[in-house]
Amino acid sequence: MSPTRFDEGISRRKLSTDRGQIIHIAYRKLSMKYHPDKNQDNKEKAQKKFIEISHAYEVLSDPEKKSKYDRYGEAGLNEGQGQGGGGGGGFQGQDPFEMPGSLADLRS
Amino acid sequence: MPDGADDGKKSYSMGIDLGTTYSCVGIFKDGEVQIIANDQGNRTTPSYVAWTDKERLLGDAAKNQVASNPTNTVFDAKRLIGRTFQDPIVQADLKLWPFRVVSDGSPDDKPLIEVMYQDVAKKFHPEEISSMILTKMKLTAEAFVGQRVRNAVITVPAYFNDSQRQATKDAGEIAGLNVLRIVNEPTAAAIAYGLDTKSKEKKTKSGEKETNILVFDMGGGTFDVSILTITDTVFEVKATAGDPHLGGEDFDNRMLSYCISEFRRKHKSDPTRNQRAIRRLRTQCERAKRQLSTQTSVTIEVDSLHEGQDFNLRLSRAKFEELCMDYFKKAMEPVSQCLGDSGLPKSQISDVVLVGGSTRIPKVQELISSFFNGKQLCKEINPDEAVAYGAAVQAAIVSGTGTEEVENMLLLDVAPLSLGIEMAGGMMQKLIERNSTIPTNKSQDFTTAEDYQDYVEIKVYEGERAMVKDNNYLGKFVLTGIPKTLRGVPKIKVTFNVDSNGILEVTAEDMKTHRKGEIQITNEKGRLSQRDIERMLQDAEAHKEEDDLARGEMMARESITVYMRRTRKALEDIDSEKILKRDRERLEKKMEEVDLWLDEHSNKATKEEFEAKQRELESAMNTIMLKINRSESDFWEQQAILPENEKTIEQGGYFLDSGLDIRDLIEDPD
Repeated sequence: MSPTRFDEGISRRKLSTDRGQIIHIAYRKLSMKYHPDKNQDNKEKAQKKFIEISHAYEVLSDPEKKSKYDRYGEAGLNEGQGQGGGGGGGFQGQDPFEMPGSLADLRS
Repeated sequence: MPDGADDGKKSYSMGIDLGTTYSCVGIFKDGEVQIIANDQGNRTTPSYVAWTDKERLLGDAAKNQVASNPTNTVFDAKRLIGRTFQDPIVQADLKLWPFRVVSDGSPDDKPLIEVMYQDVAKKFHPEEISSMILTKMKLTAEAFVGQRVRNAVITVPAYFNDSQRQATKDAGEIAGLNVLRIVNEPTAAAIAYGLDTKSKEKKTKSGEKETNILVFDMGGGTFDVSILTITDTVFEVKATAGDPHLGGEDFDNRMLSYCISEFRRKHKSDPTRNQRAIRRLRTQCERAKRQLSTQTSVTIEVDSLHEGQDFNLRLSRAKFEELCMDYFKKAMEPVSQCLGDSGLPKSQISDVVLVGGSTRIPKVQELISSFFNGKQLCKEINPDEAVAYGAAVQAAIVSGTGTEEVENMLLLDVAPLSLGIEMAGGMMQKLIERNSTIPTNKSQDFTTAEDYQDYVEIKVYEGERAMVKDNNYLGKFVLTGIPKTLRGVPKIKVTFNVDSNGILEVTAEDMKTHRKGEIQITNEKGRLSQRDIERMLQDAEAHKEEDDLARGEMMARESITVYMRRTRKALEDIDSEKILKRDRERLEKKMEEVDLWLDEHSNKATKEEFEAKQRELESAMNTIMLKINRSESDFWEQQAILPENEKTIEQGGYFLDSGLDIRDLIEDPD
């Protein structure tokens, strides 16, 4: 899901007040509704939904992630994480014979 | 695994705080949590298991005989669980344990605890020791509710890693439990705090009021710090940090080393190799440590400690603090880290909640308080029981056996460590960041590092360091059959799944061929295989039979004692005219004889001997019964309305109101 869908439940008027607080309250409400513990009959589906909600909350509540998402979408978030590993495509510089079976980061 | 009630009958779910040194069990019953006292009347049970010549002992019974049986008394299984034998922490602990720990010799290098039982060396995995303690806690709960309890929430330190969590879950399975959830200890304690505060506020309409709290949980062996944002219903963990090997036992060890060096200095002899002496001294150190929380100085005394020499030492609180100061200071690091991770300033923490026995130490309290600029600390909740209390609430939530208030609550916990895979060059690529809310999953696409590479090896690690060699290795798997092509072309999707227990599962898929590989990380390093678990389950069952044998004797003894009591009462109650003097005398004589016999034989007689004695008594009684012209059954009917096999405890039988036979529940004879 796209994190912006998460904003839809919140009216514009409310958004103009404390945005962080409102997002947090909405997150709690949705968690209560979709957490797998609250949906024992339909755990798997609920879990999927809950993970999406958590992910959306993580992005919306972090100004840095939010701005990345706004500019590059979901890919922007992954890109940022990938670089945490250090140095872009540098992994390919290894001697292939010493590195059988190695993984490299795939970047589009 | 099925949750909650499985047979329609109302079933209970318990919360177990499986501690390094003590364990505690709670159950949600009649709208509230009950912390359950064991058969000794104690609300916490030592996490001890011992083997004597005759039997296996659990809990208090095991701890009470530790000085006389040090090498066969096992404790601290929690410090071994989920670790390898070569783990530096295990190697350091080894030197302090009186029991033997060896490697299983497999490539997994699992530690095994070795004890002598009936002249045979027996080896146990730490999971098995923990399962025995869990069994003890289960029996305690069952005796309380009067029916079988299988469902359990078990707590672990928040900072426990994947292998330690998995191993704890395995221990539950070996104990025959249905492990509903593995819950973090400080999170469980926060529930206890939240419910306590809420009840005090007398339902003032707080609505969506948010409070941030910090839980400082220092017990016997582990240390956790968690920061939570709580409202009336939602308990949300913001961040967690800790040290899975820091607690009261480390302080005991410091005191012990100090005492040994003092003894050496005074008497020029070394008690280090004298297991019994060390054990006795350690017990005294632990006691002195507790006293120093309320007193400013204590005397540690052990008569004839080693080679006939007494030990006597006056220890001040200041000296104790000096001995342990580095530990106390070390405990403040996770506090800073946790605050930093939570993104909250100190001023936003409205309460600092103390949990675990070691938070009674004044210096520890002083350091935390000054870290928070002189803040008053919250000591409202019971530091020994809060974790089990919260676990019991979570058990009620997950199994749907609580009240409406409880079932409206929700716990949002986090993964304590970042999880990732090794990239070419030994770099750690994180997929799940630490403090991510669980359950969670994350996928990322990877490719090959070389031309024509047709397989990839996926190695999974946990930890925060940039290079995998500095992190903790969890396991690996190989995905084969990737179509040979130039490097960078294949697309391999790696997915990490962390479940509600904080346990990881990894899958990888080649997006072209859709070949999949997955690991239960879990079957790798340090973890028991399913086959191991099944074997241990059988062992545990076998042990149960041995225990049952001992239990048989005890039941027979109990039965004859009860019969004696009832006969005596019957003699008083029956109209004396109806009994011939001769018969009465005969019965009284018989009873006297049995009394004497019991005094002498009650500890060594077999089940059959007890039963034979009871038959002698019965025949004397029956003679009277026949004479007074009543059938025996009529008579017993007068005594108690029900047939023997349906009598409740009040009626002199063995059955609880629920129909459960208490004899099934009694674990240890005597």
